[in-house]
Amino acid sequence: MKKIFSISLLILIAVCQLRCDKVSSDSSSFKNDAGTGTGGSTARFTVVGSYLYTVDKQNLKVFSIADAANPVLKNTVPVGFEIETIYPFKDKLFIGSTSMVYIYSITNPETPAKLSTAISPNVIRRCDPVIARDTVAYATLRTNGFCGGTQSILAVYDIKDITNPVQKSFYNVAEPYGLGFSDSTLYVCDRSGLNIFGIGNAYSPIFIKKMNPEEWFYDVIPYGNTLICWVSNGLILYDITNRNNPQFITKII
Amino acid sequence: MRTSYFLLFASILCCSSCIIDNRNDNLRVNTWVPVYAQTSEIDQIGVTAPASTVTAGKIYAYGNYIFQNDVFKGFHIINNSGATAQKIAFLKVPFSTEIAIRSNYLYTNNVSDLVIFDISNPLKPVLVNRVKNAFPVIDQLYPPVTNTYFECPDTKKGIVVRWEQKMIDRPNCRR
Repeated sequence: MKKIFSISLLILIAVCQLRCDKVSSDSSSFKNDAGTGTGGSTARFTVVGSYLYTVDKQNLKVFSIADAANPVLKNTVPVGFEIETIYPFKDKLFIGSTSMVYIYSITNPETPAKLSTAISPNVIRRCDPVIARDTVAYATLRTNGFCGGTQSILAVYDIKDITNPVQKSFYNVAEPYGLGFSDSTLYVCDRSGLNIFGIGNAYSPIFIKKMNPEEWFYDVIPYGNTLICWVSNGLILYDITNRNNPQFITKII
Repeated sequence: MRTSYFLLFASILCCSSCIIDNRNDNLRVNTWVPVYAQTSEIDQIGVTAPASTVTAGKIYAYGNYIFQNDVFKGFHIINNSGATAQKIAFLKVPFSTEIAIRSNYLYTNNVSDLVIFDISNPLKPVLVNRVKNAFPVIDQLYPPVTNTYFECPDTKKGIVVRWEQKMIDRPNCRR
């Protein structure tokens, strides 16, 4: 009985932990293997090779989809609390939670192994979709509303040593959501517009401009020469042949 | 037993939440209440004509097609191959929020089940399989906000698919 009481309390503590997290997603130039689609940075499902990875509030699940119509659950990995997003990057998974970003190796696809956690010294509670490329990871840490905290930023991490991510710089963004990059351009969603940053120097993004402040942007997928944007009332497509200067194509509501 | 007391103390300290509140005063307040899924709604999967977006959700790109979730309703299927991208169909999947696609198979959640569609013909996705209880529904125990009173969820009433704000008497949970 005592044990049950203790366990219940432990669960209660767990349940009451932080909220809102999010991680990752890369978008664009992310080369998928044949026949795999591309998600945004706020996804909870992602496909890598012949595996479907899903994250619920606490667990990472691995399904084999070698037989595409018949997924088979291969593993359930407890990650932490308040998990919100999953983002595939090479042989890694970036998993975003309220309090941190967990980085897992999927060198062995059925047995994800934790490599490290990335924490921003600037912000303690936040919502944070994360994306990565080469040796850099970008996260938006949104601290308003559900997420608590006091500062909203775009954070830049050096992930050369994947077991020890180090924050290199940050940029204040009013209320950031999802993000994605294409070549040397980074797109960061905001409650009031789409922010465009140059990332020619990967660790020091340069703010270029903010577009369409009348729209609430939630997430983006740079997809070839098209930027697919999830906005509050539907979808907007831009032509990004010129990466730094998106041209409106259409809005679908 | 000492451990238990410690945990009790810790739980109160770190949560200030989820604890039944025994206030006796009658307090009618705007608070969060759980909305439960009806079994009859859950199974209503199918394809309809293109529809207006109600609650725009997550996006996904696959070949010349773009999918956008309409939160808890299904997916708008958009053909992006022509001069102007346009909706071509709506895939009804009650209480869906997530999506991934590989090799013409679409994976999504139908409440807590993983469901799989063959989308070889994007105009007519076909449900081909279902994995029960593969994806626990998010936000079952409490609403996605802190420092608030809310109506305690009752598991006997079914699955909590979302939280709504309503005026009720004496909400009995807090976090």
